[in-house]
Amino acid sequence: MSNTGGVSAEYRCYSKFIYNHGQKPSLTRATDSKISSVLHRFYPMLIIFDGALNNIMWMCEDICLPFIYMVMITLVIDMLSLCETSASSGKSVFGKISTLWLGMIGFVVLLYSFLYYVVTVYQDLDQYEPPTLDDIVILLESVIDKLETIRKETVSRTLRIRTWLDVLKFAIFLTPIQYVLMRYLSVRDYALGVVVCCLLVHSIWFQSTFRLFWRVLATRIAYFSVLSIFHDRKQIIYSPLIDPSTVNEKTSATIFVPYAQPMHKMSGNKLQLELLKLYPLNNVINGISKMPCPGVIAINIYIVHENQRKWKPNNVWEPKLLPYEKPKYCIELNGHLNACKSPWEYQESLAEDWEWLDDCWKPSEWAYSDSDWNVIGHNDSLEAYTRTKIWRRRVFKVFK
Amino acid sequence: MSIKYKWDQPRKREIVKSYFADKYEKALDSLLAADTAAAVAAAVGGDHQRSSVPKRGVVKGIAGSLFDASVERLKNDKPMLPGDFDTVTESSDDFWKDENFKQETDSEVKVSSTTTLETPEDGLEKRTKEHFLDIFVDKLITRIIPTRLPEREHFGELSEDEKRRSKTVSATKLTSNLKALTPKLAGLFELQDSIVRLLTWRNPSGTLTMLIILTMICYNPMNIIIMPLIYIMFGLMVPGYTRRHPFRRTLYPYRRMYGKSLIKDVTNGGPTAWHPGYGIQEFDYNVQVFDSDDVSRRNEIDNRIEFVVSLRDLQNATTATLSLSKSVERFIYGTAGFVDERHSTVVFFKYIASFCTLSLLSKYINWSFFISLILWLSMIFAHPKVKQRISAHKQKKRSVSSTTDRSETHKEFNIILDESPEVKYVEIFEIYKQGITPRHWDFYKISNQVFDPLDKFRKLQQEPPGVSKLDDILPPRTWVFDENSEWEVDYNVKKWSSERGLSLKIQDEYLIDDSFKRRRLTRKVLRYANPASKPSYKLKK
Repeated sequence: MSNTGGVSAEYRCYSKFIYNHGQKPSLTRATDSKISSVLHRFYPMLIIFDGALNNIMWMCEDICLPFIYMVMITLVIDMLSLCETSASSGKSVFGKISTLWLGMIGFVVLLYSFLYYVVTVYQDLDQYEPPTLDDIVILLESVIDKLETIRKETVSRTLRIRTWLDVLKFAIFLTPIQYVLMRYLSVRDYALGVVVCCLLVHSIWFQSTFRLFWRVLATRIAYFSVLSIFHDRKQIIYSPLIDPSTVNEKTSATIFVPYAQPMHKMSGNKLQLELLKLYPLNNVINGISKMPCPGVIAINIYIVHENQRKWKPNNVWEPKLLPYEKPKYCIELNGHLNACKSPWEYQESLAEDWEWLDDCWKPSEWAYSDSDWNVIGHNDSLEAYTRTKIWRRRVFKVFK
Repeated sequence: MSIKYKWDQPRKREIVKSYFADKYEKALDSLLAADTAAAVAAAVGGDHQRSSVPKRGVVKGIAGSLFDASVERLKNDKPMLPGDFDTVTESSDDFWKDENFKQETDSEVKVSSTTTLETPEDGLEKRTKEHFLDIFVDKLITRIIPTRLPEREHFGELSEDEKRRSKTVSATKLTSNLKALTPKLAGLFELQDSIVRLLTWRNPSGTLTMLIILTMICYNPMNIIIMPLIYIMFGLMVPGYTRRHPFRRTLYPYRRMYGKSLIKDVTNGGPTAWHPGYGIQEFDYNVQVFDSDDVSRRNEIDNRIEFVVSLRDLQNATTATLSLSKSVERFIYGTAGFVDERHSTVVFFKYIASFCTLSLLSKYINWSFFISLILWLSMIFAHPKVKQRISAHKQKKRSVSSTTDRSETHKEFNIILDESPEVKYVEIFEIYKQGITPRHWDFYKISNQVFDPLDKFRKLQQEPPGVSKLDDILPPRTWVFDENSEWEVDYNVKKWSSERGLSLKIQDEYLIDDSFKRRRLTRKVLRYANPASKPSYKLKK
């Protein structure tokens, strides 16, 4: 091999993307003939289903066609206005006739265009060479991918109803809205609005608009306030700002260790040093009792979370957080996070009789997480929008 | 006799020229084909040819163009083809003949025919001489540009001749069109002038009339069709008629005009009128020169001025068009292209808010009144005197608010840009070379190539492009490696090798051939957004 070391010194080696649609071994031989024949029969229906999905997602080659179908559907729905009382609809006889006529025409054209499409699919399949198994699988993959996209778009940022209680809450929440809507909207308008929304929701325009809306703080606040009705969002308690004495009172994680004889003569720093020797910060301490009693030392650990968010365009980490998410500083108390003051303010307001066991607050590394506080690692990356640092410090109190 | 003699010479020459032209047309075609072949050969030729061929090609091209131009010049002497409709319409146009003045037009024709009779040869020579450079440039262009240009849409089916014409780029045609167009643009610029005059209150009564007409259109949109009809009838046709058949209404000159118009005085801002300060030298295109003694001379001067003015205006118009297209481009690729994401998002919401408001409220708004009110108000605010006061007031307000306005930074936080980035996976191959024994492998390279036995570098007995340290591997352009992920060995060797159609021996995570073995490493890459789109001409740079 010739040496091209001089070239390689300047060479910039770019890694290459992994594409899922690489060359794959042909399925034709590897697949059972029965499966192949079933898939072959299934193929036309798959094409039609794929066509329907394309229309729903507005991914057709000719983008005007879904629009024309949508207009026809609205014409069909418009016939509902004929069911309404004449006083509310306010249409003349001519108007009613034209509505009925247009609706019927729309329905017939829709039906015929669908049937025509189905027939031409079968005709084309007869006319051209039969599909290979790979063609069918590619189409199948495309359909699955589209369904997956639709599922994601439907499920993300929507309410998740899991229990009967959620159903009840949902009904209570929606009833007044529905009542107001039905009060001011006719059946036709309501149906039209719902159908048009359903037809448009998976289009790229609607989804982009949705994403842009998600950038606005007001949208998020509204969404999370609705969400809080359905989910127990009391994992974080925002007010009041909890102070050390309240933590000591309310915590159920206090560990009671024996107040051994040699310690009785110690006080202040000496006692603290002795305790530190016996119980280093990172060790698990086994307590002797669950309730305070004479002759024990109570040890509490304060675990304070410091939270920050990354702000674009300068990618600066700031303690300013969004109103619906974790506060700047919060302390762990009985499995919940409570808003609290900064650890340095805690230092000044330690409760009576309690003393610091550790000399200072011990921080952990920053744990980086995405915008929804799902941890992704210990390094800042493009994915990271939030980060948390955990400060720990223990206090003790002697029960003589 | 002399006339006959004068006709004989050119005819002979013409016949000879046309004969040569016909003869050389075929030669020209073959030359063209040879040239194209040479150009293709130059494009695909080896390295050693690269330096010499283009120069030769350029020389050949220029020489060929010169030759073409000479042939074209010979062709010009040929009788006119029926397809050259432009020249036909220009020369044999009866349009400007006046049916009431047949005598005059006949005499004009006679005069023109005698002049052509006198010097047919000279005129021809002059024309061909003048256009030789143009023809040369044309031919040069046809050689430079590809023969098949993308076509534009047409309303109907074009004839063969039209197709041929529309396909080629011709400097001659372009220049002649420009020459013909320039004097005709005068009317358009006059229209632009009058519109500007109306919008800037330089013609107050006209501005008021415009507002009244626009209000009428607002209240009845059918007026958009009715008004032009009125204009055509009474603004174009009646003046045309009265020009032909004047009403002898005598206008006696007054020494002095007494009294003033209230409307004009109010709109001009009283006795201290504002607009003469502009000092614009206006040019009246419709000046009447019938009673002048030296009509022809004056006409000639006017025409020259008009032509130059039109040319200047055309130049300014192209500059204005350019700046307009620049600002349109700035919007399309900047604001609408989400270059500044925060700003674009805010703009999007402004539009969506106005869309919602308009579509909800449009039913309940008296649009006729609303739009006409806006028109009147905007025109009133556009009045120089009012505008001056408003801008002074705004300036005052701005200076006060600039010190206290700190809410901008706070407002910024209402748009949160925290979309999860695009995620993809990249691969590279760690290649090992077989050592002295079959079990001994030495690290060889980290490359983005598999370096299998069929690899082109391997066939050439060259090293694959790559680096020796993993840290030197770069992510694809515009992407970054995820800091929270590391290079991971892909243990599913069967999958990645079959995807590449490789059926080699597999041992642990390695794919082994007779001299080399390699393993695949994958890593996550991230990208917040695609690079913003740019116009195509910017990409080429």
